[in-house]
Amino acid sequence: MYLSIIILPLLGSLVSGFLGRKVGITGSQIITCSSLVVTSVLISIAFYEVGICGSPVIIDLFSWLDIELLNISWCFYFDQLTVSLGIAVIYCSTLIHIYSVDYLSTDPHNQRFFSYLSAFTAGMLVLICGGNFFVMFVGWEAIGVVSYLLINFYFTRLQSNKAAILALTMNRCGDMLMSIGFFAIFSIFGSLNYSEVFSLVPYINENAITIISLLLLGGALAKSANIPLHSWLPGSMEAPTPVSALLHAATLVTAGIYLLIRVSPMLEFSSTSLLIITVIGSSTAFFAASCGLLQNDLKRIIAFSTISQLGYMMMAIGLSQYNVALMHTVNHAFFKALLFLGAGAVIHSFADQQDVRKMGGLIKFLPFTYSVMLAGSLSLLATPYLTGFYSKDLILELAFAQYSFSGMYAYVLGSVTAGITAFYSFRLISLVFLTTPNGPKVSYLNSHESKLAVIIPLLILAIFSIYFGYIFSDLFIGIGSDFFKNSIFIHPNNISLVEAEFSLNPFIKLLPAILSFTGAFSAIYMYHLQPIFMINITNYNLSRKIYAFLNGKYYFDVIYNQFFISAGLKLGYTISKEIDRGAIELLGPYGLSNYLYKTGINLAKLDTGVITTYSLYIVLSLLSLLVLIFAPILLFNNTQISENIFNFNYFNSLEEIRLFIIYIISALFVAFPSCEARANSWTAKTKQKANTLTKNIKSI
Amino acid sequence: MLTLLIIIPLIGSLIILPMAETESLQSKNQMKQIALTTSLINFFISLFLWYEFDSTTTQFQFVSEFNQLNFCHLNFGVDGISLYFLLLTTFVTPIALLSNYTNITTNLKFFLISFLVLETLQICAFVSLDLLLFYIFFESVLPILFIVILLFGHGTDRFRSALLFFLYTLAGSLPMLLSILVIYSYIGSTDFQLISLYDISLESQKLLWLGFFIAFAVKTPLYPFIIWLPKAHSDSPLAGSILLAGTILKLATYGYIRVLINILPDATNYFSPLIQTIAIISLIYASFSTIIQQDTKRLIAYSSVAHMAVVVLGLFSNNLPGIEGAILLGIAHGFVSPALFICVGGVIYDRTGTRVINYIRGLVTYMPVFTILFFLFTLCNTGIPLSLNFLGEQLSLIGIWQTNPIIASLGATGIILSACYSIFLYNRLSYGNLSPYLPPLKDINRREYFLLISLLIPTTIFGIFPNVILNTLHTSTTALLYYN
Repeated sequence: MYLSIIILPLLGSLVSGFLGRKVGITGSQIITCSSLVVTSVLISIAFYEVGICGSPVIIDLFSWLDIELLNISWCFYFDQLTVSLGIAVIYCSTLIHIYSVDYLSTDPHNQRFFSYLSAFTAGMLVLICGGNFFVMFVGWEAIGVVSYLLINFYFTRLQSNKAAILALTMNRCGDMLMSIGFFAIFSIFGSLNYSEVFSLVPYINENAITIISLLLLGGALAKSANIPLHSWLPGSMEAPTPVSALLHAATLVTAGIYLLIRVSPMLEFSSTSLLIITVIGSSTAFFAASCGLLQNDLKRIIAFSTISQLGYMMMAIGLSQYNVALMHTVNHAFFKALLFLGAGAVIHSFADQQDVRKMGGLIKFLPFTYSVMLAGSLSLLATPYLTGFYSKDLILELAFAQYSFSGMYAYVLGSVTAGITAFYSFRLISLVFLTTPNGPKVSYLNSHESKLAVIIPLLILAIFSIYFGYIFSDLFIGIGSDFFKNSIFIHPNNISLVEAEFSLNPFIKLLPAILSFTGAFSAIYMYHLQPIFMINITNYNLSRKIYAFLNGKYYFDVIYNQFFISAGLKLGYTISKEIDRGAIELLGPYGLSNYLYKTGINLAKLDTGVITTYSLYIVLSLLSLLVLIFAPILLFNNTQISENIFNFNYFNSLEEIRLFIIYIISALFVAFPSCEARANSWTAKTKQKANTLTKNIKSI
Repeated sequence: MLTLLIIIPLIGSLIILPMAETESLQSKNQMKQIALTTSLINFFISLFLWYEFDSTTTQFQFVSEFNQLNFCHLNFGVDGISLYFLLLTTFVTPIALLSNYTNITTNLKFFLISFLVLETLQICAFVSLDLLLFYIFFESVLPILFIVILLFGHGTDRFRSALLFFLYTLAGSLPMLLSILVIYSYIGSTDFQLISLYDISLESQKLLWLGFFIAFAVKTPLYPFIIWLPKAHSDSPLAGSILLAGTILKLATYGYIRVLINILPDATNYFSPLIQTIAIISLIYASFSTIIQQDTKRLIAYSSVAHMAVVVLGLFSNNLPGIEGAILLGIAHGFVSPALFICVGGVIYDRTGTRVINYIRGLVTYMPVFTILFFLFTLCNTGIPLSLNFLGEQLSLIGIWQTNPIIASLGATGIILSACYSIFLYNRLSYGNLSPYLPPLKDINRREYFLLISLLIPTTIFGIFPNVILNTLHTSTTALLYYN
């Protein structure tokens, strides 16, 4: 049963992809969706067995690699961590498969789409179920590749191509760091299996652990779109909306978070890396939220919101509250998928318009979509007792309860971010649904609520994003809950849940909520009630600059393009042109052949046909021979007699320098041929030219 | 059995030799079929050899000696390492023959004979147990490939390319000949087994090592001896490129293992920082110059340079994962690089008549099946898990990490750079709007499909079950480790 959780989506993908022509559009939809539905039933059973009953499953299939110490097998773990994340992954996948049936009904490439989508689910499951770093890496790369393919789904669009290449290469940066991490893990622990590595961690030098954790963090940063490897995520919004919902909001981007939660036994022994993770996480949360503040693309706003929420998760990991991070991951999967699918429904019904400035007033046309998006937004901004509240608010309280610099940093930035989150969420709601209609009339006339295949997933996700936190919070993050058992390790020194729950000042606890409501109301006020204020503000130069800065995503893309990509290309050009085709050619084949050729020409030039030159050569050769013959005698005389340097004989022999002088002068004659010879060669050339000229004239 | 492997291609070429090359399609097909059948028979025999191979011993197996020929010690044998190079040769030759199955029209007889003879010579180089014979066969590949490039190559630049290829390799291997002569004068024999028993002093090992190293560095190729490879690749016919990438570069890999590591271990240990540095330079330089190449075949040739640099890193890591990973990556490169050459130099070039990246766009519209295969090979080239390349790369770098973490970290930049250039190539050719200047394109035909799929299957199967290869490698590679 457990293996079929992984295999069923894979089979669905293979059938839909390779037999797409045979099974047809409907066939592939039925096959992939039904296999996903079966999988979600199975994962529910697995959640009951593994999670609630507490009996982890390990399936060791067969050996993959067996060299010396390096013993890796195709091994799958199903522990509490896996099944909790698996629930979010598979439920979202299933719902999004069903949603896509309608959303892509007019697309000619349905089989391809469903094949990719199922392949992604399978890859994600391999990732979260892998029992060692290599099997996990298989899923890790698989989802990266499928992400490339899905971003490139509309392959004729240049923007999609660029975004897809960016996503793949940026993820590869993370993969490189992660691979280096694997090398380090193997050389230090002698194994790449989770169980062996994690049980050895306490006995290993902390610096080594820190380096490994940071390298793995590099991979996680790229996959989970945290600073500085985040810039692929906004671009990946070129993919169809269900893809954005599934990959770039609910599941793929949580792979990095999953990895860090999985290596919690390692992170717990390295306070440095925990500090760095907290700082990066909270900075990302704030940065992305402020970017999302002034975006105009409906999907990009939600994308930045995703990055921001990923920052929260990263923050929770840095505070070593892995269960809270996981809870937030699952919660976020539900409400962010809901927001994306809602946005997709809006875009689809509104003539594929994505610019929020050209919408407005849709509340009358799309009441259901409005309600679910409102539910999702409220959940996102942690309205008390909705799903997002249970994890997001707790993260901030835990941050404060650390009573440390990093905790304070996280708390302050996190609270401000909560306010900004509320602002952009309600900015979106008011611009799309509430304000006066700004779109063309035709779009409004054609706008309509979607079909049942869209409404059911939206409804289920809405229910999840309202009630899931209430139901599961005690299981996941309740005080004294031993749900996660050994799958997560929190060092006893780092437990601050009791502190956060019982000893904080109520003001501290309420501050994020207060900021959220302030943000939400100010958004509605500024964009819906008093829009004149926002229009007036554009008159100032400073505000326009701030707008450009935030809308331009802090100019991260500019920096990357300017410094890394173009520098890399320039370096490539230099190497290729100046080393390969330049220096090596000059010193190697081209230079050598050229030199030989030139020498040959020069030698040939000596052959002037003038008798005096030849006589010069004869004399020269004779002289050379003489020198060669007599040199030993001259030298011998010198060495024999010269006891004193002022010896007469010495000078006497030096007089023979005349010979050398003659030799050198005649050599000069050869090197610079005589005027006569030159004249001869010149007349020959002119004669040739004249001949060719006359020939040409004759031919004319 | 080795004798059979060596003789069968020769018999095939002898059968083709008297056949009259007429214009009729029938006689041409007959010749092609004979050549193909011969090479396939050879492949199956080599598979049987693999099946019969005993992986528990480090000794040479299937040894066949020809003492009647007394000018040198002519004997052949296979151990775990040479087995896979042998298999690669017998596997790649039919693929090379099939890849140019239809577009060679003139001098067909010569083409077929030269590739069959090349197969024999390469097998001889991989299985000969004598240093001098190894040198002879190592060199003997040159003239035939030189003529193949001259006769069947593309473009007017092929004369220079062929000349460069010939001269570079020939000049590079002269120091090797000198080293062999020195070894012969020291020991009085050039037999591998005999030499490996002798203890050569470190001082003379260093000189000998450098002599051999230059020959292999030219053939690998490592910086600064690389410029013959892109030229030879871009101007040679497709079959030549396949053979060059698939097996002839592996002659150097095999040489590193058989000669440098096995016979001159002290000098190898002494020089390993040098060779690691050179390999890293090759890797990074070649990767960066790959990114900006405009010619598809040149791009893949440069990427070969980068991959072979990782192989060299693994070989000189002096531990088991590294060396075995390097051999795996060598084998993987022998599958994937020819496949990419078939994709760009065969399928695309046959249809569009150009190898310039900028002229081609949006192939997926007309050629979806081809694009899938091309994509999979591109991924394999970047070292995606489940492909043999991934294991080879990771194991080589794991190995080198134990020796030198910094080198391993630098070597890992190949992971990013290979993704950059491979995906750029794939994306540029396959996606985007269909270029209006392209002629109407047909998707790949049955021959090309089977060519590519037969290269894809081993890459993935060995990527999932590498133990099939590793089990036979263990005993032979363990003997290569150096304990200081």
